[in-house]
Amino acid sequence: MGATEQRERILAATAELVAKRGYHATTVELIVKRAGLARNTFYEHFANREECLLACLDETALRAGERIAAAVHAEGEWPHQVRAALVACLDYLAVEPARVRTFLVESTSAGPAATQRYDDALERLARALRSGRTLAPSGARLPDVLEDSLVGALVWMVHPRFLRGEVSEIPGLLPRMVRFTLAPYIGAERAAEYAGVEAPAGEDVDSVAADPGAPPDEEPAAVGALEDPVTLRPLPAGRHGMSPELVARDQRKRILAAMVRCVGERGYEKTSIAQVIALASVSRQTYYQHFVDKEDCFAAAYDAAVARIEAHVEAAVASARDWPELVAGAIRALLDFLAAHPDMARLCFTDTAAVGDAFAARRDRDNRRWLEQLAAGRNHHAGARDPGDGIEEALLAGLATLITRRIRAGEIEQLRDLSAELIELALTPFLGPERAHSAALA
Amino acid sequence: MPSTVSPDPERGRISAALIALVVERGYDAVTLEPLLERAGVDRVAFESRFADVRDCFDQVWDEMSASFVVEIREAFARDDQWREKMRRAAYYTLRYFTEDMVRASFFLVGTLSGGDVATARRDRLVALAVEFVVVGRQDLADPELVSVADAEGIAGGIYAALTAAVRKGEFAELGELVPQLMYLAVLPFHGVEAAQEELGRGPADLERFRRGEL
Repeated sequence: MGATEQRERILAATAELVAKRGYHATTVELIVKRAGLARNTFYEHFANREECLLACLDETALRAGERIAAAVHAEGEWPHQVRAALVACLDYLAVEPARVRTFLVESTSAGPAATQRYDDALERLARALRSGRTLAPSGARLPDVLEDSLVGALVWMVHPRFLRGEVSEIPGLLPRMVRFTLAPYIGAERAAEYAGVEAPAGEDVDSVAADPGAPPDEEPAAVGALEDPVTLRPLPAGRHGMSPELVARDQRKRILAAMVRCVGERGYEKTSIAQVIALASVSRQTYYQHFVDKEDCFAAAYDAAVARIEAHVEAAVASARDWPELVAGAIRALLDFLAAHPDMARLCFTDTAAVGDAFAARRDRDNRRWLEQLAAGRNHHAGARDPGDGIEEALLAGLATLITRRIRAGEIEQLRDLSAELIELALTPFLGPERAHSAALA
Repeated sequence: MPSTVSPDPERGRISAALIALVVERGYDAVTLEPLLERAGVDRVAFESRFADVRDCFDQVWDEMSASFVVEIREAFARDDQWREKMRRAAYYTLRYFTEDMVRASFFLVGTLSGGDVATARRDRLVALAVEFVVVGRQDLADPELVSVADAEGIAGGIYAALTAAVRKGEFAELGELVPQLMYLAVLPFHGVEAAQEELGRGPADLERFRRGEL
């Protein structure tokens, strides 16, 4: 491996780790492990961790800058240039989400030199934006701080979405960003024309979602008792002035996320409270303030996971026009979600049996909602065929078995391949094989 | 010096000494010995109250920030109209930052010192600004015209403008910032005329502010 490739791997590993864990938890040891290189190799390229981070930030600024310059160059009119620059930024975010997160969110907690990089980059953008002042109607006064503020505003539209794990929402902000940036110069109405509504060209929501530091979170935040690995990061040490309720909520979230992760990795039986509290960075005492035992915590994690799945499915089928579309959409959304959240897939499908009888009631309760959905097919398609009593339960058990088998076989990512088969299975008793088949292919 | 009267005089002296030292020497340069000397307390007195200098900084900053938040919320609550609320909160912030420059510097150091704690503090302050901006949606026939993302942008923009002014050493000019910040907040909600109006209010409002009417 050449020196350039080594350096590239170190920088990529650094960005991924910092985006996921923050700068302070990212050690040289972790970086070399992730990059698959020897410790010595790291020190051949960088004197220390800070130098490495700064190189990573510089490279990110450079790459983003090149993209912006190329995009702007291709446009004539200033408002188009602004739009093109924003599209370029969002495109870059889609390609290298970890680097962008490291730059926009993590750099300011990584010491004065890193903060300076951040400040400088924002200032460069603000200066570039000032050329728009020539377009403002003569006589219109603009605030001196306008550009600093606009650039800050754009960053802060993105920033909280990184923190909340809503990275997939960011590309959709483009029209608002364009309107927001242009309105002071050319007025709200013309700004809206330039904003348009289409998503940025070349946008790749999936690759954003694949960011290890910010996994997909398509669900409303309210269901977010269980989120992504980011939530495993503890609150800053020391007195942070957060209300006790906020702290407790954060602790609980971290414990639940840790339980999901542990069960996902080693199964319920082999998961110990010690592992969960270590991963969640909470004390044993804190754990017991929230949960009476392991099962209690598992049950809460299960409930939270089910709530997330249901919210995801509900959102996916909101626009279903009829019952077959609703069932097909629900199955696809379920499989999508499970494929994207392997830990939750294992927790909900393969580990509940290990927990004991008390848990069966919980599963029954959740299954009932799915049964009702399936049973609705009888009303909508009365006359098509009489499926016979108990068919819903049999179907649900069949669907669960097929999904569970794949998960046990470690084929979670391939779960989506099952969708046509499962949709057909679910619809056939109600619609007959032909209509079920065509619904599955729709 | 500290904004709150401490029922514990030794603690009060430690806070005051810490604030002065941080502002004079910078956050990283403050160590225990000079702090004890300045406060006129011994190590035992210090350690019965704080784990270390860092803990002392965190506690003092958090107390200061907590009282700031309570007071700015009160200021925001006093008027009925959103624009008035925002303006009063902005001038309150201005007063907070200009009437005691040492306190202001210390406050800013807390959010700019780097590290996850400082970042969390900054995020909380921006979140407070978002909370205030979002109230402006009640004035709109269609609240979706300004989304939460826009409100987050406006609040972040205000924060960025403030810190840019501080960074460029325009600290004393903060008074002139208020109309500009109001322009930024008002524009997406009420359009360019209203925003221009805010910008034009500057001198008169500043005069009222100096007379203590704002």
